[in-house]
Amino acid sequence: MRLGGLLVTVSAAGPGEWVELPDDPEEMVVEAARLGWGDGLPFIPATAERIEAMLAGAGVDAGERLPVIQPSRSEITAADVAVNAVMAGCQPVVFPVVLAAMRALVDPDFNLELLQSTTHPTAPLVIVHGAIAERAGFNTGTGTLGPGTVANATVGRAVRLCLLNLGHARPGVVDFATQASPAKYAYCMAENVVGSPWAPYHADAAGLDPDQSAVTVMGAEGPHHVNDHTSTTATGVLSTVASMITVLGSNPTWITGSQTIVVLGPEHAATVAQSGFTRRDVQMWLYENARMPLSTYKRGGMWGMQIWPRWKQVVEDDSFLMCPLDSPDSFRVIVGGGTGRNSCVIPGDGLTPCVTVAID
Amino acid sequence: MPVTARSPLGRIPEFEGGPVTPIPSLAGATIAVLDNSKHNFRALMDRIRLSVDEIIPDITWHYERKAGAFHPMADDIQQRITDRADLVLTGSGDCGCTSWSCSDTVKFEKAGIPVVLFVTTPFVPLARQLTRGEGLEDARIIEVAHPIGGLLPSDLDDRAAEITDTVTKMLIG
Repeated sequence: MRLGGLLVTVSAAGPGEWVELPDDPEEMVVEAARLGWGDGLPFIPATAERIEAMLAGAGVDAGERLPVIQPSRSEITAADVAVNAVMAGCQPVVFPVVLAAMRALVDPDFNLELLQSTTHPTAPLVIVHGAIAERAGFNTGTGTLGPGTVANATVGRAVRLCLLNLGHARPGVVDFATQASPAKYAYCMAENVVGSPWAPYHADAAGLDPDQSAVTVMGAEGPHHVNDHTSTTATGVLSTVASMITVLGSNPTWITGSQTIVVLGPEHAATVAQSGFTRRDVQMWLYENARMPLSTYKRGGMWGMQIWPRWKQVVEDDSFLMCPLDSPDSFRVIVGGGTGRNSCVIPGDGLTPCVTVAID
Repeated sequence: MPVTARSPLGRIPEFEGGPVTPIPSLAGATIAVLDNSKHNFRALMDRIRLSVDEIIPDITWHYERKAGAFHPMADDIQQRITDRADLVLTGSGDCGCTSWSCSDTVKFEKAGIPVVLFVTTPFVPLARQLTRGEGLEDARIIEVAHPIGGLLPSDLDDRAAEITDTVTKMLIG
């Protein structure tokens, strides 16, 4: 049969095939679980009309190929991503974000195979920049990483469904995250440009035009809260931020090349900027001050199997102060969220890069 | 009325590949240990070596350690092992880094160098899936009780004792 212009052959529930699902929502969820689909939550069935509408949202052809997704090694197309975006509840206007994020994640240099299987609780954080954030209704303010906004919630969920369904990262089968993380359900925020004293992140970090829509992805731990209601200077706020970086139990402490995203709330960002700090100053200050003596590193964590640059490996003085990260550029500074003197530190997984790409 | 919807699952490609490379006679051979840097793997291999040296004469051992378990082996490590080794022992696959030990395994096998991959029990199905996915039928996997990392030396002795017979039988055919 032909539905909405797509040739539909109903058969068993094989990959990419068309399936008849019960129209009762509860039965539909049960059937999806039986078929090995999804994240355990209710979903929108990916009908031909909805898939076509989703693809139209990004102006892409159904057959446009992406690199194979790991570890299933499945060859995937824009239509496959669209199916999962439909199921996640995405509206077509956000599909360019989902597609750009997935293109970045399946890039062979991204190390998706390890993100999918590691015991570390990493999840692909998606950060939306530029004009599409407002146009598609992303929440850039209060609760940007939380529930309650269709765009943030469904984009994060769509990426997860792609990793589950297309990449076959079923928990305990491929995904061995020991406790995992709620960030594995959905992990998407949008930059708060209005609340930022600095140029948009994607302009500084990737040299893109400030008006260009873009997306940043990185495998990351969940956000670690930075609570500072009293500091009135940059050094005060950043000292509190630094305290969340000098830890033994986080991957960036041990793996060279790691990045950590510092999401400054607008109020903290304003305090920091009032001290005359640029984004670069924040990076430099954190690198120079977020430090622990070598003796502290030796107390636990991954001491003995640290993957450090050579200059760190030859340090012998136990009192020598070292930053867990390798360079000022390892700190990715962005403004996000709304009211309140709160920020968060999002440690990368150390396995994947922090990548910013333009949205077509 | 039923809803006609498209399956969201990815299509796993048909298997294309071949069997593992046979292990040659190892008398006088060079065995490379490719340590992915996970805790205690080198110590486990040191214990296995004692047993292997007792039953196979004149083995030369060559050791390489990856900078980290989280990425494929570096080209220079691959080249040095390829230039020297008749057999590779590698691991440990005891976390998600199993994926890159699988990748390393398949690279050597496809170059005609047999590999024995050490994987802890929970990760054996993943290792089988990944090595098969990369084109290796029935990878030579030694299943080790989990964990390897974080064990005391006496516990590591027990781990080695549990697998020594399996390893030596595999090596002598």
